[in-house]
Order: sequence, then structure tokens, then C-alpha cells
Amino acid sequence: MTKRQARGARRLEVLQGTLDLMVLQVLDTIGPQHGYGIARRIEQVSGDILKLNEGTVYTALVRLQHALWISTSWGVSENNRKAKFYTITAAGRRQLAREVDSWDRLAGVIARLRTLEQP
Amino acid sequence: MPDWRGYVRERLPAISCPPEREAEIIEEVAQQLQDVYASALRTGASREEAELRAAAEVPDWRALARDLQIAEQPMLAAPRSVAVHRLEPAMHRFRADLRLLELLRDARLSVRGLMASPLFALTAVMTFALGIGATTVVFSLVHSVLLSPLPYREPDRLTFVQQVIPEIADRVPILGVNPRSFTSWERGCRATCEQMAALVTSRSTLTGLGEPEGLIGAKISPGLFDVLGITPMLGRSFGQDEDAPGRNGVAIIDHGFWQRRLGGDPGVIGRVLMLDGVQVEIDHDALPVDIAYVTRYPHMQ
Repeated sequence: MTKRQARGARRLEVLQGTLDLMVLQVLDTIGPQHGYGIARRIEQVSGDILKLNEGTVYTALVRLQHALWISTSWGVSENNRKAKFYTITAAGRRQLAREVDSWDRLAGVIARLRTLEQP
Repeated sequence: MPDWRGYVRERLPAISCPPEREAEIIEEVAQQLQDVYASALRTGASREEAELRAAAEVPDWRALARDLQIAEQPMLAAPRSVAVHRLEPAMHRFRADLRLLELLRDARLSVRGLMASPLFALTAVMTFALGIGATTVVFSLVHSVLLSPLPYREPDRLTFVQQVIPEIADRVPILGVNPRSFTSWERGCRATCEQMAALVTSRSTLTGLGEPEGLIGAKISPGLFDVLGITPMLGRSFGQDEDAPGRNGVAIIDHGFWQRRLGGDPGVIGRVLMLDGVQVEIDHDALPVDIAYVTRYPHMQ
């Protein structure tokens, strides 16, 4: 427990607006997935640096549905339970491409600032 | 296994969206908590620990409901995507419908909110009740005092005459009309008015009829009932010369007094009352409208 807390203290909050991008990216990479699986996958890939809770992930999923970037269907999860599966749509892929592009540019700007403006 | 759907339903504040959509949201959130719980059990956590871990997934239910509310209404949020732009023409077409729907959602949300905090709801209802009550009382007063016509014949032609003497108006703004002025005005008023009558309210003490009682009445000139258009139920009105000095005291009593003190006696005409120790004969009876008790003393000048 103490180990968990110590690690938790160093975990990052998800930057506003980046969660949608992460969810789209996960769905694009591993295919249809349920909410729990998406959250664990992001945490796993982040090396447990990111702290996600199901509520936040679910809100993002609702948002993405309304934007028509993901679609949903009921399916059966790996442990044989009924679960809602989310799938990225064609519009979602286009959005992902746009967001990744702008993210890369922004990251590039920050990287350049970090190197050029160091005291 | 805990009932995660019930758990979510209990904690998630109301979101204004169609009920079936809300049920869906609850179902899906419960699904994810259930997954967290089950996976915690698989990795060897105790039931309690698994429950705690699942519960920790939603640290703030209000925040979740708020975020979901925003996510649920993409048309209200600023357009952020090509997809929403594509929806916009349709959005304009259905804007009126949307407004109405929003209104219904808001109403439902308000009712639920009120039911969730009955004390607040009660306070609000009481506030409204008091406000409405006070308004009604004030309006009733204004209505009866200022707006509704007097219960007399041709009330719009009635005028209340008072005397104002400019020289002393700063100390005595309004004077009653003195009897001498009245008699001369009454004779000379034909050009401006049809009829004129005088009235002075007076208090007197009734004795000799069981319990003594203080009565409020008025001394009047004979023409008052003609001016007001009132006809007594029994007996007659005062005659034209009945205010001449030396005539015996006669009184007209109102319906309430007749019923209350005289038992509604049909043979009331001619009975004698003692007012302030003076005998007064009941000449007439029972004003049809319930105006103040009226007496008349003989020496009205």
C-alpha cells in the first residue's frame, strides 16, 4: 500500500483534451475494446505514469460517441461478461490523424523551446 | 458480488437527458466499475479491497455528472469537429424543438432537485405561499378600499364634501362641515347637486337591554337614505322635518344589531332603546346593506 501511494504521488494527471486523442489512438491500434480495457491499456502503455479513473475515461467515451468518432456495440468481454465495446470510425481516424499532427507540432515547439531557451 | 448498477444509480446526480439514455449511462458506468472490481479480485485482492478500488475509480460523482452533462449536449457546446459542423444545418432546423426539450429537461431536473432536498423545497414553497398570501391580502384591501364601487345607488355620482379654510389649512387641513353651513348649502346646492345630506359618526352607550354596550352610530340629516338610495326593510325613513328642534328621538338600526340584540323581532318598530340615558324610539329598521349602525338624535341643527 505504501509503495502504491508513493508511486501514486508521482503519477500524472491527464492533460485536458489529450485523453480523447489517447482513446482514439488505443482503439485505432488494438481494435474494438471495452471501457475498462481502454483505461488499463493507456495506463500500461504509459508505464503507469498516467493516473486514469473509469469516470474520466467514460466521459471521454461519451464525448467521442457524440462526435461520431467512435461507435459502440454490446459484446462479451474476455472473462465472458456482457460489455460495451467501442470502435473507432472513419471520421475518428481522420480526427486522430489531425490531432496527432497538431500534437506533434506542439511537442516540437516545446522541445525547441526547451533546447533554445535554456539558461 | 455488489450491485454496481444500484451503486451508480444511488450516487450519480441526475443528468438532464432522456430517461432511457440515463439508464444506459448508469449501466455503462456500472459495467466499468464491475470490471475494475472483478479484475481486482482476479489479482488476489480481498472483496473489501476490490470494492474500495472500484469505488476509487469515481472520486467525485458531481464532477462526473457535470462532465457527462456537457458531453451529452454536443450541440450546446462550441462546435469542435467536422462532424458537428456537418450537423449544424439540422441543428438550426431543430433549434426550436431543442429549446423545448431543454425546457422539459430543466423542469424534470428541478423537480428531482427539489425532491432530493425536501427541507429546501419546503422553505421555497413556504416563501411562495407567504408571498402569494401577502399579495392577495394587499390586493383585497386595495380592491375593497380603492377599486370596488360603494354599495350604494349610482356610486359614481356620490361626492364627499368637506370644508377647507385656507387661512388655517396649515394647522387644520380639513374641517367637518358645521350644521349652519350645511343647511345653507343644502338649500343652495340645486345647481350643482341633486341632493345633499349630512352625517356625523357618534358613539353612544346602550342600556336597559341586558348587557350595556358601546355602539358606534351616526347622527344624520333626513335626506341621507335618499341620497344613498337605501330603503329600510321595515318601517320608514326619516321625514323631511324630523330634524327640527324638539322632535322626539328616533333611530334606524342596522340589520346586524336587529338580529343580535333584538332577536330579529318582527315587531321591533316602536320599541324604545336607552342610548346614553335618553329614550329613543325605533322608528325604522334594518338597513338592507350592512353599513354602520345609525341612530338619530332629535336636536340636529
